[in-house]
Amino acid sequence: MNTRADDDVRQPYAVKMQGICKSFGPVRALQDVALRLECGEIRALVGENGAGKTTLMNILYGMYKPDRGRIWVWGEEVGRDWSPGQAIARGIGMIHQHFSLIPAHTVLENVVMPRLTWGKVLPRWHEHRRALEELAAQYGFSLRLDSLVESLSVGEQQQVEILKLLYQGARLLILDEPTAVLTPQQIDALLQLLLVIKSQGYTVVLITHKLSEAMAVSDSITVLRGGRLVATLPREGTTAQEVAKLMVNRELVVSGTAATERPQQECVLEVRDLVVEHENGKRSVDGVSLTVRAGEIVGIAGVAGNGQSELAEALVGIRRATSGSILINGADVTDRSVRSRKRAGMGYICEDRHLNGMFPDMSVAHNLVMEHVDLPPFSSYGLLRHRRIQEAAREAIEAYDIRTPGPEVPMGNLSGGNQQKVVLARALATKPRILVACEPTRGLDLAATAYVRRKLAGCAAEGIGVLLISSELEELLELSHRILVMFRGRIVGEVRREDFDVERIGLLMTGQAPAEAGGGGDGDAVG
Amino acid sequence: MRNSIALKNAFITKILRTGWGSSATLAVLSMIVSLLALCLCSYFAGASPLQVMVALFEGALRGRYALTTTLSEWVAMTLCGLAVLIPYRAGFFNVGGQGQLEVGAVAAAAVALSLNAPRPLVIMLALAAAVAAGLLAVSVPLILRLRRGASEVTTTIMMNFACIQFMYAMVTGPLKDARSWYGTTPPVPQAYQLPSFPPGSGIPAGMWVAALIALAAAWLMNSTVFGLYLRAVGSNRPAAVAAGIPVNRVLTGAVLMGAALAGLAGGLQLLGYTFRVAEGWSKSWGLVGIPIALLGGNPLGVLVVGFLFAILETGARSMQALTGAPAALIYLFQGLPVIIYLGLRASAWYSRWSQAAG
Repeated sequence: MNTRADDDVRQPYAVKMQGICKSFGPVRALQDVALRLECGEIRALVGENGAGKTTLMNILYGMYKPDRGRIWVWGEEVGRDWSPGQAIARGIGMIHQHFSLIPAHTVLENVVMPRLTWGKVLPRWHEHRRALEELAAQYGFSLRLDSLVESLSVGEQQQVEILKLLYQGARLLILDEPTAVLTPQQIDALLQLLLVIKSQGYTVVLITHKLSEAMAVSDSITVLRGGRLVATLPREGTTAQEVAKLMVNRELVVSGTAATERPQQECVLEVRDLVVEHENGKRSVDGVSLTVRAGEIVGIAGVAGNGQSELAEALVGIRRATSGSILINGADVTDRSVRSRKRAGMGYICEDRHLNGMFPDMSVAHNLVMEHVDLPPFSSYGLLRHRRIQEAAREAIEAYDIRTPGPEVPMGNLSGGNQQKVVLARALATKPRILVACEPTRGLDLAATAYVRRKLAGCAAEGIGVLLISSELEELLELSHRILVMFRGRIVGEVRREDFDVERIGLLMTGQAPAEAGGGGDGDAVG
Repeated sequence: MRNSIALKNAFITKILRTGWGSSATLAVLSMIVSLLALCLCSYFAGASPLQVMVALFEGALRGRYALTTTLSEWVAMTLCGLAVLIPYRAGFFNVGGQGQLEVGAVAAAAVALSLNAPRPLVIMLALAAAVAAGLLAVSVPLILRLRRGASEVTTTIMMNFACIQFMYAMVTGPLKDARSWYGTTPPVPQAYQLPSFPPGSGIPAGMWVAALIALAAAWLMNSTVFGLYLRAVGSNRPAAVAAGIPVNRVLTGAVLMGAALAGLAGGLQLLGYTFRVAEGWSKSWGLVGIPIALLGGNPLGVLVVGFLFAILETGARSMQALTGAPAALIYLFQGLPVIIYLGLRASAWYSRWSQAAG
């Protein structure tokens, strides 16, 4: 039943994947990807967000079924019924970004649990404990088996996950962004551990977008971009610059007839040393300072999850700033509410309109006026003036070319592009001085994308300052006067339009700051 | 199997396209199906479905006494429906209507039994006390929700138990009728009872209050900034936050309004219908308010569905007496249409969703 791949009989390989395609709805996540993992290597899988790294590994692990393609594991082709259960049985283990541990159980219980079956009423804990202690000693784990998982640090919890995979008998370990939640010291420890594991003959796949990690431990590096495999390079003789160049699209050119207007001197948004902390003390925004002038589009580049969303939410007032200050038009709004900031001139296009940008079961008209319906002419003494609302809605539908049967239609019935036009029209209806736009074209088709970008450029031409947060480098290059690059909650570099350089921005995004980067970023505070 | 699902989806999609998929249509459809189920059940119980329906509606609508009873039931059903609906539209599921109603009635009884003043004043004060008690009963779940994010479904259900036990403690303790052998308050003196309006017509004054409140609620929802905000908060709370709507204030307002109406229902029923608070004095108006609100969908819908439920409640007894079909069948009707309705709506959503995804 299982066919052997004839050309690989001589050379042993851990995994071979051929012609893998996978689509989610209209999105083609993977297109014709071929991958081969050698036994006993550490392979880094790098690429920007949405490049398909995690999807590819989820297919290997049996979580997703590929639309097309074949997979061989240890020389045998897998069947159509490939599943995580089978993957584990065949020695493949995967650690996802979010751990799957039970906090109230001990390390021992967590590690042993996957091996227990319903029939075993009384597990032989002593045998498991002895075996585990041996295993832990062999790899230099510093875990106490009786500690509760909830009492462990994140780094230690990750060790538990690894121990769990090893104890399950995994010979191929897949780690998805394992360092995203770790401190630098924990990262070093993890990378050391991976080297030890490799030296025992295991194969490791490290999914990451941080090139420094890939360069530090891997034997070879596979680059994915936009669902396609771009290249697999041996680490020896490759530089981080080369890999970064492959990660971002080289075809990108600084086109932009869009941002030709010269920004004015007047400063509409000023942010000083902004810090945003989560409850757990992790700083998602770590001392960011920036300014946006009237008529200027300032782009924020960065791999998603480096604090951009939190920065935007803190600016708009949805999230509390731990320290630092925010000035709109020179007025300090740090302690003011969302509404008060909007009155002061803040406009906001949120990252995910389904999540917090629209009221799907309410009419297009109501969606359009929601942010200023309490002001004349839309209401007086708390009573809605339906006719004025309808008129304003008709005007906006006309002005923004929103395709809807009428202003009374529920917004959820519109297409994504038209929904985004409603969001845009609403944000601009209050005549803001500064517009914070997060991923304004995410999920839109080409025409709608072009429309939104034109509109943003038009805003700048009218003297509105725009802070454009986007993971689409192409969009930033087209529109921005300046691009600030965020990495781990800090602004690590600033590039002006006259010296836009895709390669350099790519390096900054992946934490490979070139020498002169420090001077550029006005937010690169010390400490 | 797959084919039949696809066929069903196509059918529902067609309904949606022609505008027949609105909540109101689904609600009417589910109630019709439930009435048919009622007929079927009574057939199996050995009664003729036609006779059962006739007895049900005649028992509720024919004759002055029956009509007065039905209208009195309608008062509580409407107000309790609104007590669920208004907070529900803001994203707060008030399951505590029953408890709010019980403490409202106790508070009204305490006022009406202890004061000696002109009739309008006593009635006003008693109803104000009922409202205040309803507000007090919801304050704990509300504060827990706002401050701690505790699920109001759990806390309001638990408050029901606390409120009902409080009612028992009152009617067997401080407010107990000394002449009675079971836990009950003395009857509200005739002078302080709610009259019928127009006088002598047998139409309870509370009905006009409830109807006016329903109309006012409809106006509030559709024509005020607060109503728009309320629907926005219920539609997508994070989006309301991002739009700068004072979410917690809106939520608090909606919840207090709901609880006030449940408390008021208790006061009105005491002064106009039962005249006593006693062990087991109340029907489960507060709980029936939940299906009424879900099926009604808006304040005017609550008024209509509330009337249907009131007919069933009143007609059940004559149905049992005349046809032998057990009155408990009516409780089937209190649950069944909601389940059918939610099922229909879920499949309508599903087909819309799968259409959007595919």
